[in-house]
Amino acid sequence: MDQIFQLALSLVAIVLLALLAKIYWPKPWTLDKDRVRRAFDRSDYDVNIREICLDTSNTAALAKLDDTDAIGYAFAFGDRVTCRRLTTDDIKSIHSKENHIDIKFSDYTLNSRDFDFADSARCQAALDVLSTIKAGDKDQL
Amino acid sequence: MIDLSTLIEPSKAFGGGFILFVLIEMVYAARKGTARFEAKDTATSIFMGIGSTVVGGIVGGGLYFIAMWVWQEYRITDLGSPLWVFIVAFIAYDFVYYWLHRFGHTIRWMWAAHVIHHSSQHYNLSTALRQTWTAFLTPGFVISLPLVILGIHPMIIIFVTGLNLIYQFWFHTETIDKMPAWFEAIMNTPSHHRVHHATNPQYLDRNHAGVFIIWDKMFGTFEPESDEKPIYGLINNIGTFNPLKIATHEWVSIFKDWVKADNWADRIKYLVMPPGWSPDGSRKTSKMLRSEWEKAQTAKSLGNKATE
Repeated sequence: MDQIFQLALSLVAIVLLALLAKIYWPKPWTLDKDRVRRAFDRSDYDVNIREICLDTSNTAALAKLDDTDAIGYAFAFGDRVTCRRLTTDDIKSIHSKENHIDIKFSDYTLNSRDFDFADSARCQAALDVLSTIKAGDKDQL
Repeated sequence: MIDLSTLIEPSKAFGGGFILFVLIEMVYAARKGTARFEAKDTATSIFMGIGSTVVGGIVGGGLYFIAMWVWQEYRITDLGSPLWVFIVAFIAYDFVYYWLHRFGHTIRWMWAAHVIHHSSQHYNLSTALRQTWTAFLTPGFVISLPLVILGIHPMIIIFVTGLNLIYQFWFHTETIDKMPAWFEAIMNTPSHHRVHHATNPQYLDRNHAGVFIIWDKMFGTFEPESDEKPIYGLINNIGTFNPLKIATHEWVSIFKDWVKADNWADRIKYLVMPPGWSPDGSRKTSKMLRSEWEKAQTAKSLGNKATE
């Protein structure tokens, strides 16, 4: 009984501390092109970014790299940025409809991502980035 | 002589204290701007800590049973329980911890359990609580058994392990810059441990100490914190706050490598070689990353000299 009480108390502590963190640091975290570049400089210092496509939420971006075997993917993760250098093996499927792209990844901690773009030109630019890793055989690209 | 039946596991007794200090750091950091917390990250770290305690409670009995069996069957002597044995056990366990921790970074099988602790991109007191759920799947426990064979009772080892864990809590912070020089020279500190949690190439796989930083200095793994600001997390950061996925992601990764491997030699190497090892060298270990960085630094300094 004592252990269940301790466990319940711990769960209450989690909620309270998370709420407090939210109150103290409420600002939602978004990306811009500079932030994406800086994030890649830190995580993959050897990549050269040629082009960055941010989605409308400004929380995810696809990046065309000099390395044609891979593309860059950066997303806001809490108040940090997580980057991936994706090859065709890392992508299970790509679905595109109107200004929307849905990518499913072969990544246990990162299953999928929906990208919404403001207009068809930006969506096409993102699809162009995806096509650079020879992903033409992916669904509906 | 200290009555071993009266000993309690210190880190369990201190449980509420951990939460209180996270709260204090959070309030202080919010006012002074010395650190950042993120709601989901904080919740996840504390949840991982609770999960670790629960798992420890479940499997701890079995491990204690094994330790007692070794004690009864294989101990060379019985050092008893005077205060000096506790002091010796505390120092000896810290030495054992250094190797346990070092192997936790250099043997992928052990990294699979330890990676959890490094999976946050934050570095604050809540990060200290982000503890493993799967250590019992590794051979780490065996490393402590020589202390039992040498005559230290398992209860004393459990006690000093708890003290070691409590000591390691306080230095998971950016709020404290540097401690006095004499302290920095001997003890593990926030500055030394920030280096340990950093992914900057020059900081990778450095400062494995628990309490005394001298072990890193003795065995060549010490790196002081320089002007280079530490970047926390993993080389390949995770993309989830799901505790179960955090606890198991490296195991899943090993399993996938096992399935892909076409011979048993590679499968064994996937377990015992450092994280980042691959048969074709297509991935990078910490050693490779640091070596590349050092070459780049050398080239840079030669370039600078040439232009002078």
